[in-house]
Amino acid sequence: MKIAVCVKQVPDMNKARFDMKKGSIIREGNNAVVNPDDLAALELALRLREDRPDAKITVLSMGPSQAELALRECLTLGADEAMLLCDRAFAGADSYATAHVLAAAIRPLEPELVLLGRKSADGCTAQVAAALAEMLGLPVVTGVDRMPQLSEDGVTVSRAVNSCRETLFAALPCVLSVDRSALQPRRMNVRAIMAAADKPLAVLGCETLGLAVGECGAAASPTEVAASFVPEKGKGARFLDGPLQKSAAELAAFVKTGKQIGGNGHE
Amino acid sequence: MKLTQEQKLIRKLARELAEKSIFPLAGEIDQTDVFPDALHQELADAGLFGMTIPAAYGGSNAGVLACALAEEEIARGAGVAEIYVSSPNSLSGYPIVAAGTEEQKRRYLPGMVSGAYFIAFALTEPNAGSDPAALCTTAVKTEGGYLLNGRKCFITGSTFAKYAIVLAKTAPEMGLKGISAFVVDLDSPGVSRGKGERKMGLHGCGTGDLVFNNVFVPDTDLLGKPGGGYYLAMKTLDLGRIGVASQAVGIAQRAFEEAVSFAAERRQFGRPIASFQSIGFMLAEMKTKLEAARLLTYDAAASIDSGEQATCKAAMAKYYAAESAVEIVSKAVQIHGGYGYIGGYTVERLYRDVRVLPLYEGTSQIQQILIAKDIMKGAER
Repeated sequence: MKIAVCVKQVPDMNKARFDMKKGSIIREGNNAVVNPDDLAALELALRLREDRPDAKITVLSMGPSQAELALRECLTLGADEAMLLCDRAFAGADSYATAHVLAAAIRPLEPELVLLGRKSADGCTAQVAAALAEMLGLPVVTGVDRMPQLSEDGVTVSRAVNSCRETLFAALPCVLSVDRSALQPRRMNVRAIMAAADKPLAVLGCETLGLAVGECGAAASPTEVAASFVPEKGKGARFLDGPLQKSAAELAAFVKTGKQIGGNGHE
Repeated sequence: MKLTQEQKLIRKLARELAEKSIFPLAGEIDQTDVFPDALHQELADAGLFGMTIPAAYGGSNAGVLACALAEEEIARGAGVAEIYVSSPNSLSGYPIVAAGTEEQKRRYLPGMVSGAYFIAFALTEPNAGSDPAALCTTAVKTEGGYLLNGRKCFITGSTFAKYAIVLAKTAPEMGLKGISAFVVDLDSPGVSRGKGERKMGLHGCGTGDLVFNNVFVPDTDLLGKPGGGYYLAMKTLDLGRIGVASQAVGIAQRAFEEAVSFAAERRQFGRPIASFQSIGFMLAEMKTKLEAARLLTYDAAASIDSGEQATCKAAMAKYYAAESAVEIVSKAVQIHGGYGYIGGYTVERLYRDVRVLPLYEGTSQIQQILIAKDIMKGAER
């Protein structure tokens, strides 16, 4: 069985600092992490492999050369091989153009399962899984948040939808996007880091993937960010001073009015 | 400095562990003087105790630079936590790796790396700190082994270590060449442990006396050759000093971060104090010294990894990093104003923790002697 896991290197959003003038995240190399939902997707693959020792896990990432570190982390955690999709032509890709490059890399692998995080912690579009499935011509289930059950012909998955829980069956091959609440990812240790140093990691560019420059990156992205801004922290915040009882009563009265917090007035 | 992917990952692992598991506990460890077993085991499970130990004995052989990177991150969490990481990778591990027999390596290293027990390093005595030639502890040859007598003091982990590497004179008439190293089981008859000292800082690792009264040490626990103890101890200290330098960089980094965040938030005269040039200049000096200390430390570590004789580099790194860390932490306290003097503020703990760095594993003055000796090597006519 072959499993492809797509990951993205993102800034650690717990530590991210923002450039208030440009309205963007300051990307500092030292604080880059594997996107948390993607780590859950990898964990899911690793646990599936426990019952299917023949399974081979390939982890892929489209990103700059620094993203090699994210792939090395995935290899340390147990992935068998890695592919870094790295080319200047990929810069500025939106979710559609990203999916296009990922699809080109995944297609020849012919995996039974393609896993990826539900959304990235920085872009948060949650669109790559669906776009990728469409391009690969595979069924997709997004937002999987429980350990799925594999059978000979397919996979049974579960996810929360609004206030319900859905159980779905998808035939293999298929694409699953995974929510970080699904699984607690395992942690690295130094022995595993050193042991994974020799695992294969291939760097693939436009040409190797059989893509033309014009079908990648910003040039091939139908969406364009018109503007971005950082919401001012604490703007409009009101501090409730005084004794606890009084503050609680004030807060309750405020919540009941509903409208300021986007509610509908329910008590 | 260019780091390998593995070194970057080890740094990341240590940073994440420190932020998740050490940051929340550092204050409590300082207050209670107790290092939680669960945290000790977490450090062990992360593989941090075996970074300079070969894989055959449970380690990963990740190297001295990787170890320095990890120690810096752990020290940023709590200076005392770094001691638990540094010891097995230098003071207690290195002598066994470098001079131990195959049987000794198999007996002592795996348990140390897995966190099952701690091995102390017992060189210092009441009258022999900077001057090891003045050691009074003796090991007299007897049938099948040695009889050990003497008192060691300020021994890190003395209250809980299972074993200690003990330096003792086997041939007192031969001076430094008459010193030998032993691995001593601290449960042996005749060993007694003093009460843990009440230290200024670095609480959470029992530090005190080990007293040996006619303790029988079998021949099989002699480490290396008789008379080879001093040389072995000095080589060990090269590594230990890089550990202290890394610890200094980690503690100073934390103090720097605390100072930056306080200076940005604290408002006086209607504006953040960071906007005053006097504070800005202090931060600039702190940052510059911090980076210089870091680079000296990494360079010394990388030199050992590449097989160079790095006594002078290790001494320079330890000397500069320790002295700079004291200055940086002191400035961080200054930036905090009165708050920096109040218990519960991180910089107050750091100020007490950092003060030992220019003292232990060779005072700053001993480092200067080593550096000066190296400078004058072959230059005198």
